[in-house]
Amino acid sequence: MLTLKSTLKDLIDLCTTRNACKEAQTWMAKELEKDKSITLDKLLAIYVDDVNAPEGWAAWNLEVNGKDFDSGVKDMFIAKIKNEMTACQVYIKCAPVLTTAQDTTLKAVYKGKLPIAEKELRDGIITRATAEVAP
Amino acid sequence: MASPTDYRFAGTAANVDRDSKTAWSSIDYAKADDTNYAQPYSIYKNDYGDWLRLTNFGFTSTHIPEGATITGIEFVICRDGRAADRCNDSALYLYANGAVGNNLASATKWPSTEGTATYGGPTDMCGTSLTQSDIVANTFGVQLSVAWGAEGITFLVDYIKIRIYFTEGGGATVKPHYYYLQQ
Repeated sequence: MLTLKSTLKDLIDLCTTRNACKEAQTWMAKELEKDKSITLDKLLAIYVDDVNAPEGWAAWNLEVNGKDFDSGVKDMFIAKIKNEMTACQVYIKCAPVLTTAQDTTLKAVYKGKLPIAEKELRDGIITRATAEVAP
Repeated sequence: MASPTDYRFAGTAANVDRDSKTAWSSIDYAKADDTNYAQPYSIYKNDYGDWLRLTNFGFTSTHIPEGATITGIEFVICRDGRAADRCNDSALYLYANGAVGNNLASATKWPSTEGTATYGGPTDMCGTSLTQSDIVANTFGVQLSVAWGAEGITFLVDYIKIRIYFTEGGGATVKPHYYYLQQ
């Protein structure tokens, strides 16, 4: 289980085994070069603030690695998600690994901005995942 | 009750930058119902692409008389995810010299084979207050951005077609165009 005190190296190892995209691997490698012992609390703070760091990586991490992160790490990835459809899809796909507070944070990103998607969820046309996503 | 125009296809297609994301290719293929397709290519995982903007649908005052009241806008997107659970709408807006109304994106995954999705309807203005003059302008249309999970794959859009529901000035019932052709 990775926590905010885990190192970037731990995250890189996990992401490499799960076939993270080149864009994310490049970004992580660059940060590792700057600070070889950086922990996830510092790294993810940089990630959230870096406008050039891909938001999709947060969604991917939550979907693929969510069960391997503690709540603090997931909170940081969720903080990166500003695109309403990305937030909605994470809310749908990652339900088994999200807390009620994390659900609320994601819903706040898309609430009132995606009337069709929100209706699909309300009406049960789209249902939230009930099992963890296999890596 | 309002009646619809015929469905009409776009006369103009454009790729428009959205946050410096992946561009569409073969965009002109989204202007007709045929066997050719516009398509984005996913470079990164869990990302979204540029706008496919289709305009110039060719509505005129012959289709929608001046003074008519627009009561609904309906459009159909024919798309193909090429496999299950690969992609979905990221953002979808009507366009009238700028994105207008609600983000109409559905969270439903695109089908694994070619299929259509219908948006709006006879009494659904899609969050806009567009008028006859907005719709007959060649800048009226729709723009779509697609979201995907995997990298290195493509998705297809065959066409987007639009029809407009309206009542003539004074709210009188409007007959469909073929009624007049039969007279």
